[in-house]
Amino acid sequence: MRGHKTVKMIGYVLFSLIAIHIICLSGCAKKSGEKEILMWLVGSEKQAQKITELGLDFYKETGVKVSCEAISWGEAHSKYLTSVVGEVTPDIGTMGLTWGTEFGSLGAMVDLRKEFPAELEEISKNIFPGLAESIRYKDSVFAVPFDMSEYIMFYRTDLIKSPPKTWKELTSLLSELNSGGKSMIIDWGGLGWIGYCPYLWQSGGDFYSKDGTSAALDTAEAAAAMKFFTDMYKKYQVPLENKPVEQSFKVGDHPIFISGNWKMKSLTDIAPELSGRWAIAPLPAGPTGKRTGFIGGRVMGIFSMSKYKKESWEFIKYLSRADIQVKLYEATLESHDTYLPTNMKTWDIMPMESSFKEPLREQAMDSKGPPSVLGWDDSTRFIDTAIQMIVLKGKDVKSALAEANRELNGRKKH
Amino acid sequence: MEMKEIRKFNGDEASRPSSKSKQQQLLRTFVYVFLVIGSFIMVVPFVWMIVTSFKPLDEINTYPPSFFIRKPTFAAYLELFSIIPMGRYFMNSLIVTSAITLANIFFCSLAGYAFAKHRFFGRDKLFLLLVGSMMIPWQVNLIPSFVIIKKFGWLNSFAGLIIPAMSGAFGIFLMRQFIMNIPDDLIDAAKIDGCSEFTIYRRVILPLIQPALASLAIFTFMGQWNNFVWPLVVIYSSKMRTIPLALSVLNGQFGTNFAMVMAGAVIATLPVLIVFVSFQKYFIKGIALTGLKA
Amino acid sequence: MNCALKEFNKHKASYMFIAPSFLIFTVFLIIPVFASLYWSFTEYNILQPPKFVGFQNYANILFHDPRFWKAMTNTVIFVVGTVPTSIAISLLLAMAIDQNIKFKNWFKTFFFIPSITSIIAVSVIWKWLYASGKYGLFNHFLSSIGVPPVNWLGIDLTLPSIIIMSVWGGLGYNMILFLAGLQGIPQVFYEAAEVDGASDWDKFRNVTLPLLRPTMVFVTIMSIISAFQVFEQVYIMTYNSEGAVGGTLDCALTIVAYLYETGFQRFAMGYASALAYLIFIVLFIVTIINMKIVEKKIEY
Repeated sequence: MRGHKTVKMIGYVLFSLIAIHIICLSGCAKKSGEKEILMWLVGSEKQAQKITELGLDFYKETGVKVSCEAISWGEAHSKYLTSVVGEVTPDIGTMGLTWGTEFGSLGAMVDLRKEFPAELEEISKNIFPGLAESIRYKDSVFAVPFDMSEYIMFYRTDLIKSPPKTWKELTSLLSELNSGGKSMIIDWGGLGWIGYCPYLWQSGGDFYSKDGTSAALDTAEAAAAMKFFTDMYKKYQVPLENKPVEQSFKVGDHPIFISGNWKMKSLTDIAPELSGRWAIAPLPAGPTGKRTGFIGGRVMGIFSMSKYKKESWEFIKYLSRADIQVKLYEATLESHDTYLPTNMKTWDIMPMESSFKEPLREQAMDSKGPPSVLGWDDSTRFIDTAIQMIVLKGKDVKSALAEANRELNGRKKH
Repeated sequence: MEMKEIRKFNGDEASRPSSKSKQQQLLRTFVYVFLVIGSFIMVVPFVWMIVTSFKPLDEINTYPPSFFIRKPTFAAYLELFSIIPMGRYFMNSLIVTSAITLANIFFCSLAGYAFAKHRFFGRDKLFLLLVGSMMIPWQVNLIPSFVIIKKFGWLNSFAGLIIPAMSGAFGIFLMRQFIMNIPDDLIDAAKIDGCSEFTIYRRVILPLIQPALASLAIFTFMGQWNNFVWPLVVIYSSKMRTIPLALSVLNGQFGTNFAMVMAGAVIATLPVLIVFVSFQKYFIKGIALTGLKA
Repeated sequence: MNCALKEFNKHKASYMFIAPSFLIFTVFLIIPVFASLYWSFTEYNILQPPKFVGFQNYANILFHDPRFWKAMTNTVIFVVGTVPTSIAISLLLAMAIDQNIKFKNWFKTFFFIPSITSIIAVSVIWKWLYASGKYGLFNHFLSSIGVPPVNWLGIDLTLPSIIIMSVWGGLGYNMILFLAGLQGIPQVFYEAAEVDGASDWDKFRNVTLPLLRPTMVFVTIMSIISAFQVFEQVYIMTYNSEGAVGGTLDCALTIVAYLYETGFQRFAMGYASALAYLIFIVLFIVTIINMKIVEKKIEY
């Protein structure tokens, strides 16, 4: 029974450790009359710590304490949902671009346009137009952008002479690559609505009609865009399966790919030997001459249950300031996060090589976000299905789009 | 019944009569080959996890992928410990997990014994209810359980993490199945000796189901140590976080630092590995019923 | 009343033994289960009060929801693909390790390692194994023997690929249970069989299998339940940047993945609860049949 003695010993040690730990935890409980706002950041711990750090300066200015805690992307939706149910929401929440509208329309978030109209206007004026349009739902705005991610084209400068500037140049480049057994990768949103939307916009179409009352996928523009997009898979050998982008870019099998700006960071980190041999460029222009791309990102809003709505709003304004955004941007250079500032003024002062900054800025100026129509999140699946049916099952463009259009109309909520 | 007699049942490992026929030899070789190849397939991801955690960033996504590290580094671990107060989260996890494991071993074997060997009104119906409850996907119970915890005022506390998990249908079912194997004669003999029900449970049943208790302990420890969704909704402040919660926020939206994620995974896995290895000894042939006459 | 009291007194110990478990059980499981049963008859977006709609959710699922049937079919394929394979292999493993062999503990640990390896590591490595073109290890191997690369995570093979991965990941778990079960078989039965001149196969059929039955019942029922509720593997292998689960054209959408999407991504908790109860009904029937079949064989 020697074993039992050891087990007992371990038991005693554990017990005393646990007792000490619990005493410590309860001792840490803070007692102060100061105002403290809690912010949840959907993202990494490191970024959350940076925001808490910036909060110290905010405390000096306003006397309001800020603590920011990270929550993970995969489960953020459930976490926010249960916090609303349990009435334990944070004061400020950052979340996916469309969630603000989603939670806000159910009454869980403060309508910023109603509460702080003038100041909101001030912020909106300075953020990229595509983003500003995306956060507006009817007459309400429930959240303002925290950061953004945008569509951008990557290419190997040693393998491709100049980046394609039009659809035509793109297809001829693809034919040329194909003859050497190479092709392009559509990484972000491939075979889905995000992959398709730039071409839709570039050809002058949109998901919904201008007044937002009905779906608009039955137009000639939508069909032309769909034909072009799906042909890249069917004719020009863009791979259907997920290929490891960095590796095939490195090897040179896919010397050009379309993805999000965050790939800049991962290429620098994991393919340092490629340094100086790749560049980025805005998307090729469509028939309308526009190079519209997709823009996404995180937004931040105030929960209705917050006790410190005004203070929270002050902090949101603080995080939207150009000088603060530069600090956040600089912090991400050291960590493995990606953060692109949303305030256009930030872009004038942020430290970034102009060969990267200018294409990104140009693309961001000509970008759009997901349509702010309630029921949109519920509808995207049908656009994905249409694309996949065309490419994988040989369905014809017209009828696939007509079907998606019907579903979109059926799922629109008012 | 005297303890001595039970010891007899727990007697020494009985060696199988060894037959040295050629067929047996062949079978043995086959068994080894099967186990060695199998082990290799099983262990590859684990080794890869450890290897990656020591890789510098530029070696992580090489083509072709390699198990060889050119410049091994502790950078990922150092960074991990600089971001996360590992000690505190480790203790939180340890408290929650050990409390739940101990409680499960006790409550599940107790209830399992009643279900296996007692006859009482409503037994089979209750048992069916128990098994049936596992058939509802937990996802739909998440919100009601959360609301109940909130009503008790246990949000953001160890109580909220520990108490709902102190017993479970899985454990009771498992215990019942193993206790069913124990011959009634043993229990009857103890009853004749005037043992109380609890004494029978402690002196007769528990010693005989050690392999099953060990598996229950391992499974509970493992499941709770890695449990993610429940702590995610119950815990609100960073100082109460458990290890899986802490690790889940290492990644940014487009998480790139795989070395750090893997370093976190290695650290999180070690305690489970230790528990498993230390409970192994309970899986020794001959613990149960060796001396019993058929 | 008196009679009931007498009955209670007679079995006081039994009720005391199950009381702590059932207290926890009632508060944290039975009540939630009934709450979601109620929700299954409502339209409920979680943030606003539920609205009673009768059997509408069930009718919609059964008669107007092709995705439900797709998910159900995939789930049944998954269950049939994983459960028997996993049980057979892990029983073999347990019996192999149960022999008088060297390095027993090492083998046990190795086979259990997939169960404790972090799911992130597991998913990353399997994505690498399955990667398309020349980048994946499986395809690398295939091309070295002259077979063209296979699109493992394409529309036709995603589900089978997930099945292979799940069998791999679940072996250690079942092996431990079988090992514990094998320990419970008294050595004397084998000795008696050997005296009678029984072959290895006879011993397996007449001693091991019958005496392993309670373990077998447990492993079978639990494997079916957990395979039917498969979610994690599907989630890690198929989620995309937009948060959708299930793969291209729902090729690997399983029923709980669908439930999760409905309840937590689209806030249709009423609909999700109805899905949960349909899963419950199917599983309940399967389990009862399962128990009946096994019980029939019990006389020995």
